[in-house]
Amino acid sequence: MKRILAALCLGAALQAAEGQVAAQGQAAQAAPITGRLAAPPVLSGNFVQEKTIVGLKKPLVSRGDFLVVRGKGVIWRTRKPVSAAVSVTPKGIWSLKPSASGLKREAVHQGDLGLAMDMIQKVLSGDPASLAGTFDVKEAGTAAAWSLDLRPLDPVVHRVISSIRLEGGKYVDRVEYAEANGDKTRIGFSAVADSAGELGAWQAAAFGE
Amino acid sequence: MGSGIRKALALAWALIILACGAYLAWRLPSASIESSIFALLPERERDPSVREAGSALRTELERRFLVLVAAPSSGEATRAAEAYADALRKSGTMREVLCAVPESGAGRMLDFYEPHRFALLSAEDRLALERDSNGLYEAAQRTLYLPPGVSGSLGFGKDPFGTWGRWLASRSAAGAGLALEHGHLAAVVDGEPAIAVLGTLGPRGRGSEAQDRLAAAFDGAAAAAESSAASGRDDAETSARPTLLRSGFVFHELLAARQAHREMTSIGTVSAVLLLVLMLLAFRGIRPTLLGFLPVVIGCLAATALLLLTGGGKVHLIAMVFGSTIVGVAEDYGMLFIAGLYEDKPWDGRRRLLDVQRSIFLGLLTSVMGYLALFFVPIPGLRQIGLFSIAGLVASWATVMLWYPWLGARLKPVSAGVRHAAGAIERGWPKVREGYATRLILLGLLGLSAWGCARMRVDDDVRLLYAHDERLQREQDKIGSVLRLPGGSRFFLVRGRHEQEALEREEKLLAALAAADPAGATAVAVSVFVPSRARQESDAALLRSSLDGAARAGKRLADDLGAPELADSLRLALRRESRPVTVAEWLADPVSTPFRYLVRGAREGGGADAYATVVPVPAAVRLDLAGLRALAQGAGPGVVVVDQIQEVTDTLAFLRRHLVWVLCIGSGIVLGALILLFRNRAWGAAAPAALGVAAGLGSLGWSGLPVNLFALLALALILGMGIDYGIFVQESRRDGAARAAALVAINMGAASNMLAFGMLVFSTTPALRAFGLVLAVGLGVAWLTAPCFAVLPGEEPEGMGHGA
Repeated sequence: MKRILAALCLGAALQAAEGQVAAQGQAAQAAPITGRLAAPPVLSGNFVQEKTIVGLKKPLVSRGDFLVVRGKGVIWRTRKPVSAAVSVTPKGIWSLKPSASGLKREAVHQGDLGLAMDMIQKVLSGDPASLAGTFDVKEAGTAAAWSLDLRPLDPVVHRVISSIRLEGGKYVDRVEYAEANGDKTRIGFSAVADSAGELGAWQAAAFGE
Repeated sequence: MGSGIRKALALAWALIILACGAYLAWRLPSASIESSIFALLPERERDPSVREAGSALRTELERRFLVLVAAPSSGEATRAAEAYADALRKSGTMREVLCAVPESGAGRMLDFYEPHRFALLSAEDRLALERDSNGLYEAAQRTLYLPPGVSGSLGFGKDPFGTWGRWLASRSAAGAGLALEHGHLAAVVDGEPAIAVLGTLGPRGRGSEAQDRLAAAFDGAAAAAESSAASGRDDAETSARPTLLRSGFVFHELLAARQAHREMTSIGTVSAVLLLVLMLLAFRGIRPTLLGFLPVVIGCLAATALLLLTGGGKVHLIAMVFGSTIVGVAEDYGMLFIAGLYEDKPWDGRRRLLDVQRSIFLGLLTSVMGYLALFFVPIPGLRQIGLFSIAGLVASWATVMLWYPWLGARLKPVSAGVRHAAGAIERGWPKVREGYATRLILLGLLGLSAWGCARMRVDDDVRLLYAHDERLQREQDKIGSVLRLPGGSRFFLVRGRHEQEALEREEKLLAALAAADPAGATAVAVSVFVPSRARQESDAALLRSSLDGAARAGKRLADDLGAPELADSLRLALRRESRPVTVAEWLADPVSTPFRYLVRGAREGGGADAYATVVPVPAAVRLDLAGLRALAQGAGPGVVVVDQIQEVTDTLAFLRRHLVWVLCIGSGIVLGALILLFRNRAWGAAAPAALGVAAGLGSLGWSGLPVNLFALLALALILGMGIDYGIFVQESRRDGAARAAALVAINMGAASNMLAFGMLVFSTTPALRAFGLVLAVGLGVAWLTAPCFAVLPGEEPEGMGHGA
């Protein structure tokens, strides 16, 4: 299940994947569901995102795919209705744009506020120890059908994100973000698989290699 | 002089010294002791606005420090950092210690900038909007379709294009380069998570006690961090101790103090014990020993009082230290007096004083004349040193002349055996008049000195004054590579006719800095938090025109989203929420607290440089001073770069250059005086000092230690003492016993000064080491060669005219 959490979360926590093994062992007692996890080297899948924005009648639906490589980061690629891609690596968040030379990579600044969100993604990467420190965590269900309700403890984060809900079985199936301004984002995952294939040039460039 | 008058004078002198002591006891604790080296310079040498900005920045930055606590896991690092910060807070020495980010901080930023958010664009967004008319439309789409957080937007409602979120984020990137994680400021050091502890020292008293408390606070905090990391482990797994990376002036200061303390206790104790043993051995009693040093003590006391009185309650530390070092010359006076214990006569203090008063007076006269040269240069600092030295020497002389007939009335002469030994040493000492061998040796010495002098190199770098610590430097370099911090010693002073002109020049400067050093250092500056009005207005206009311009971003968005009213509401928001933020508003809000020192503000009376701000040069900027200067010039006429370390170094060089002249002029005066006094024996009186100075300078060449202000000070000391030795030898020619006594005085004077100052050659501070080396070698040579120039009565040196 950790693989899915990791997949889900555009997880920069991968930066310390090795170091976290100990922390996970320690946190296993606190979070039994999230404790029994192992991370595959490469994981990919598709997603559908549905965003409800206050003041807009119709929800905004987008589709795309993602790739998680342990130790390197996550590539998140929205394909429809617009194309936009980002990569999240240990060094930060990058906006990816096609260019004449292949790929243009620009840093998305992560200051105190951007970081509030970056933090959430790190938390979601499956470091349960940090989940407990940053969120009020409520677990329900069984290993086959579970849910986690997270509420930010930090008031600054709370000003932006009011809650996050994760649901899943073998994999994480759905994530829901509720933003403090009333916007809601639901993401569903499909065709999740671990593949051992080599990274393409595009992916390598996206990770900054 | 009648005995009654003598008594009255001695009593008067005692009253004067008592008054000096009382004055010092009353005034010194409240005196302002100036320690800035710039205070030694003439006023016109420094631009006052540069000086004020420099000292304000220094006081602010010197109080701040940053410690990164790294550990194998972020949990351990956080626990250790919290323990570290907690221990510091409890120590009562800190004004503020920050580990967890205060809840209000980031939230306050949101509230403060919200009404201005559509007038603020990050450099990247501005460039994108100027380049691509589609930019705004694409930015909105990213906010709409990417997951929360990764577009940089703070939510479509308030930040539809993500411009505000990205602007805010790039501001905090300018702050440090730390990331906010779980409420802590985090970084990654060598692959390990690290948590930052930021602190500001609280007010503290002067002196070593306050320093000790501070050192204890940091030691205690380090211990707390270590034990917390250890206690947090559940398993027996061997986990590394937390690594502390420290950055801040205070750590250098504490280290230097600790080192100075260690050297004082080691070098100081060794030299004090040796000195005492030597004196007790030579003079067989505590009383003569005390009489040997008393003139120096009284001299320093009187000179400090005079300096304080003439300075109106203000004294300069450096003038005091340099001055009292020079007053050390006066030790010769006491030594010559008590060396009479080696004469083959029953001791009589009054008679001894009559015997040596001419020598002592000539010694004083030549020294005072030499140090008078300090008044020939228009530098207040050197004049203060001159005043201190001359007053101290005169007071020392008066002490010997007025008090010693009583204080030294009854002393026990040394035993006949010791006396004979001293006489034998004097007789056996090689003499120039006796043969070529001695002359050859002296010539060889001169040659060696000349060879050393040819290899001399000058280095005035102020960092030679600090003991260098490899470990602290490594820690600081590592922090500098991980974070973007102001370097501390270099800054731009940005001035303009008014606030707006200064801000516009800042913006020009920052753009040039970013272009010159793209590897990354974002400088912290007022315009980073409050852009100039012109920039805010043009950014707001850029956003508005992009909404309705050729790409019709507003209309397309409204169409896409099926909400025709959206274009109008966006237009309204862009107009209403784009009021430019002002420096006054920013200063009035707590968000500016950490950065207020950047605003120097408006000066009364106006003018071309009426309003000033400070932009510290980030430590990571690799440009040298010339490169920075070019950037400053390009940014506008009111922009200058200030390198405080360079300034201190330049000041030291300035003082050194003038001290060279002082020494030359002083030597000339002394030589003239010696020729008048001794006629054709003058060269014998001057030779020991000349050989000592040459050898002292030569030793710097041999050892590779640099010539600087402190080495020259040692030369001044060698000159003063070397001339004394020459005079004592020349004046004691009447009989063998007198010569032996003079040699004892020279031996003891030189030995004790070498023990007091020459031991500094073992110091870890390069400047002190150079001082110690010059003194040890130069004084040693003056000491050992002085007796070589002894002449017998009636004997005249060869090769000189018959002036006498």
